[in-house]
Amino acid sequence: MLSGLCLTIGRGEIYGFLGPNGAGKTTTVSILSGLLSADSGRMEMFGRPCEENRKYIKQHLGLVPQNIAIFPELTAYENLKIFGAIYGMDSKALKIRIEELLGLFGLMAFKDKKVASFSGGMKRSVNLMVGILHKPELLILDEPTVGIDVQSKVVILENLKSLNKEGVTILYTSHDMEEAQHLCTRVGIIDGGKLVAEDTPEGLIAAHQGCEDLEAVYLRLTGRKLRNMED
Amino acid sequence: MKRLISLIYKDFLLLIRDKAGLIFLFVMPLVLVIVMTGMQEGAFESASSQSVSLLILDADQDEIGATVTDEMRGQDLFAVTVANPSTTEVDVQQMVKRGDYLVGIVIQENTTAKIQGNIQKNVAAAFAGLPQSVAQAKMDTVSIKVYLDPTLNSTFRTTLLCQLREASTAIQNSYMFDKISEEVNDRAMLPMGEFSLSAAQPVGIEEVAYGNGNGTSVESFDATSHNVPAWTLFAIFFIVISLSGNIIKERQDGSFARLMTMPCPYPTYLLSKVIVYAIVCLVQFLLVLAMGKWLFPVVGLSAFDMHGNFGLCIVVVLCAALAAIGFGLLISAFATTHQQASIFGAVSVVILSAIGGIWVPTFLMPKFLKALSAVSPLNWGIEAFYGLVLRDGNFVSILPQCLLLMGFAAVCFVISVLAKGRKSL
Repeated sequence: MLSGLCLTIGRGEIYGFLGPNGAGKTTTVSILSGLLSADSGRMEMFGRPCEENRKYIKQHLGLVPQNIAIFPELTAYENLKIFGAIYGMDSKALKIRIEELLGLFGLMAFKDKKVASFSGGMKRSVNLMVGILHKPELLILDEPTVGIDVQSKVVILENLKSLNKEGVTILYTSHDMEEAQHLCTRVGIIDGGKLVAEDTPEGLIAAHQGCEDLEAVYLRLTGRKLRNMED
Repeated sequence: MKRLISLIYKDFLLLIRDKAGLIFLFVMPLVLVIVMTGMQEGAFESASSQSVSLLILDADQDEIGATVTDEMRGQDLFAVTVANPSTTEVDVQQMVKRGDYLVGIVIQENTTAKIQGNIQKNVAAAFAGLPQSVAQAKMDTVSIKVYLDPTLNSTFRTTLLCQLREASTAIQNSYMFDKISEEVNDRAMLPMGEFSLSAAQPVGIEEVAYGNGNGTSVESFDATSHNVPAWTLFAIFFIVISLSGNIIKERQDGSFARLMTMPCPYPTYLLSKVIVYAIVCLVQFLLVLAMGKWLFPVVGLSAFDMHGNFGLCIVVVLCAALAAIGFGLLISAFATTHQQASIFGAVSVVILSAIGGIWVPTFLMPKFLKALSAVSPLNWGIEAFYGLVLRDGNFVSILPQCLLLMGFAAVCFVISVLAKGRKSL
């Protein structure tokens, strides 16, 4: 449950949205992407009220969910082709874009293999590719690197950085504080549905004496008590 | 349109990549239709062409015995054996008890003479103006004994007893008419044989099979004309398992939620499922139809004939497909796991098909089940098919069933869309 959450993310930022399990990260992501409706409050994206502009927002938003939300029985190419067509992309442009992404993520050789046969990292890469296929203005990533090997993680994070350089705004949730510290231009820490801190990683570390990194700040703000509630 | 086509393409690919699902959708109905038709055809054949063994002991050796024997021999239902003169009633009992014969008929000695005597007494008393009781007091008891094997089908039993009653009544009436005619001729002093009651014409029974009320004779009911449409409908409704499983899987792996964050309207998502599964149902029908039309005669079963109503059969298939798809969506809206959907889908379709007259035609069901069958969408489908295949119906005659199927589909669609609204994605 979210309470009095106020977030403002500027164009071109990589905003790290951090918090323990059950803090409200996925709920926030679900509301932003239109999967859940907020009981109250106001939300704007791309300078437009969300409720009235849902169609426009869906077209310009990219979501990479925590689950591998693609069709495992289809090949990587088929998945990308179908999701691209749903975004209304022109077939020719879509083909070029798919090949570009497959090349970027090193999956060209696997394009005609069923996703079910892929490693966890490869699946995560396809999951991410679906989210950025249509060159969204805002990319929301819900724990995109969870459960994958270091090599796959590096490929994904490098691609996120280059996307950001191209002007894509990124909202990113993670439990990996080191990753967030290196990737994000700004982070917000949420706990119990409330935003408890928000600044650049360096600013947050500096504001909390005795904390050498973002993880120490995070633990100071959210405590060491175990959380097991699903968000 | 592009979105719809890509969703249809996706559902089509998912369907053809699921080999077990394909067997389930397309092979199962073919196996069921041929097995069930073969079994039922066998049962019908045994009822019509396999004769019941019948032993007649004619101790009368007169007109009654001869008439009953001729009457039974004239029926294809019975394989008649006349016992030799040395056989006794006890022997007949034993032979039926041992199962040598399913029926034993014993016509006692002097049966014809006793009947004639009884009629003479009756007619004489009537013409003499004596009370009925006077004649009855003097009458002999006459009966034909029938020994039956307990395994004998009740239909055969009823037919046999009817035949016996008819034969004995006919001969009794004949004697009575002759005796009355004789008395009338005597009293009226008419020339011999001038007046005879026996010459009266019997009431004729004309058999007419009606097709759509126009008097044209149509197909009689047989295993093929029931099973081809019946198992087509069963297969059509069995898609609920595949459809609801597919939807639940997409909901569980997050691909449905992802689609909903894209410019993909929910009605377009549903429409793609409707189109893909409606095509599946049409293919199922065409496969079962092809089997009924061309393979059945090869294996000795009667061929399925639609009497030129192919187009209307397609209409029924599409209406049934919509009802099944609606039911599948309804199940997926309430089931939370694939297992729940599979179990509920399978059990509900088996129950609906059983009460709907798929396994056993409704006219063979007890009254309460027959009444219950009216609530099954499969019954509406099979009734529409009967209308086309057996009664040579037209669009108007199948319209009530088609409307029921579409109404059922509409209700299921509305409930599942409302339920989707309350569920978290």
